[in-house]
Amino acid sequence: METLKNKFKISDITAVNDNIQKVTVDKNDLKNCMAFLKNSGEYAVDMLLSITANDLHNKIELIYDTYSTTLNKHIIVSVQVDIANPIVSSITKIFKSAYFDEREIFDMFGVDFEGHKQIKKLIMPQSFIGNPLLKTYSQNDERLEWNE
Amino acid sequence: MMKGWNGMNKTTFKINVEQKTTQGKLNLITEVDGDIIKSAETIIGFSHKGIEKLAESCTYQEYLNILQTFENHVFYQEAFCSSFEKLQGIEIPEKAMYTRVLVIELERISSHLNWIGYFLENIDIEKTSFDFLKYSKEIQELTENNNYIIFGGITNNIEPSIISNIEKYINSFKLIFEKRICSLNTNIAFRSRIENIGILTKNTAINYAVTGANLRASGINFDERKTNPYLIYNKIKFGVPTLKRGDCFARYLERAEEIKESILIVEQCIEYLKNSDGEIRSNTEKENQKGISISYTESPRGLLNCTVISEGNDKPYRVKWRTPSYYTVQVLPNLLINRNFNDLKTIICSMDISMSEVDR
Repeated sequence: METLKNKFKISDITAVNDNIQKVTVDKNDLKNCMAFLKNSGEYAVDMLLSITANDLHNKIELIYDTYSTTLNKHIIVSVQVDIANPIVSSITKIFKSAYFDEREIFDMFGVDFEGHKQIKKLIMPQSFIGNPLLKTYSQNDERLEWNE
Repeated sequence: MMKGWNGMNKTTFKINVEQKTTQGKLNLITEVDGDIIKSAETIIGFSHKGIEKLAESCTYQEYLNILQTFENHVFYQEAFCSSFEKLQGIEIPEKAMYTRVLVIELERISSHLNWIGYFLENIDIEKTSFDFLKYSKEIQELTENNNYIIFGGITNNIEPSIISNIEKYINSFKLIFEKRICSLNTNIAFRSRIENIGILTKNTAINYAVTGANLRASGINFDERKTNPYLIYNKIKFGVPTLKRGDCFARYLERAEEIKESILIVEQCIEYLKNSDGEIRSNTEKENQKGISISYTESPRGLLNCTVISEGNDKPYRVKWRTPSYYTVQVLPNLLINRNFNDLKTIICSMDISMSEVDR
């Protein structure tokens, strides 16, 4: 953890499930941080298991769950982006498994990924308006008014 | 379309895969030169159910009941329950753990047998395939009630008569299965159709986060039950078969070997449950905690994660599913490129993709 601390500006370290460390880094450092985790011998991360997005009302938190098959160790990297300007750099060049995940988050939360080869909606139809998993979503949608 | 025949121009095909193994729709846009696939793109989202959005409006108990409607729902329920239990700091009794493992492993055997059945049907070995599908159904019906998993333990004890039924069935099934697999493995017609087709290399599999039997067939010994044991798996003796070749035959063999290991686990669980009594559920009446918890479980198709984020209410704030098939679909174009068009069916089928799992 010391090497990570020296290299990047880490704002918060918490524990998930008591044994996995969750590190919050600046969103500009994300790409470098992921590349560092992959290439360093200390972490030897080779798998990006999933990216989870979470709506924190004025911010969106992205949780990158990474895993090292050689060391059998998880490390979670999280970044926070403003909901007014939701742009993060894409990490598809480092982990190819991020390709669908980033498209899904673009679809569901409206976060744009800089450097993604082909960012477009993944699950919802291309004509669909809105980002369903945002907490503000159902309140804005006139089509759901009959439901209440 | 005729232009494609002379090898001068590429032809684009839109393929709608609706196999029985995929259990849903998968669209593939392929570019074909002659009969060689030059590029492929996967399009998903045709059976989206919105289970992540649904979680925001349900209490934990309601959501657990909704999960029943999915195929192989035992794994979803286990992942969601263990995530909730980690969040609340609940420890479940030993007997409940053994019961959960028994139910889970029976479901895993059933799922793998189901896959083998449809896989054989896909490569036109139909007579044997019906038998495997029959075994799959029979094993699924063994426990009679498939809704044992609940927060803090299990709903009720498995009755002794059911346990003895399971024991009888597994004992006879074990021998039949060995014979069946043995005769299939020595069948040259069967092997020649699936050997050296759709090779998934180690590095590609890791880079695309492919897990489960597909990863183990490519030579990486990663099984969540062994590497980070949950429930009672650290007290149970079983092996993790790993193969190196990564082709369709390796993936078939991997699943067949896993069934044998699962039978071993089932036998040990039965041995424990036959002569044990004790609590089956611990107290869950606590105030809901704030925070995030992730559960890692091994489903028949790979690593199944459930992330629960709570704000301390009786409803979850956010639930995220990491389903294994979602990542297996991404790697498909890599396997299809530069392969003959005829192999497409076999390759897709060999990956054991469930589209209802991909779209969630």
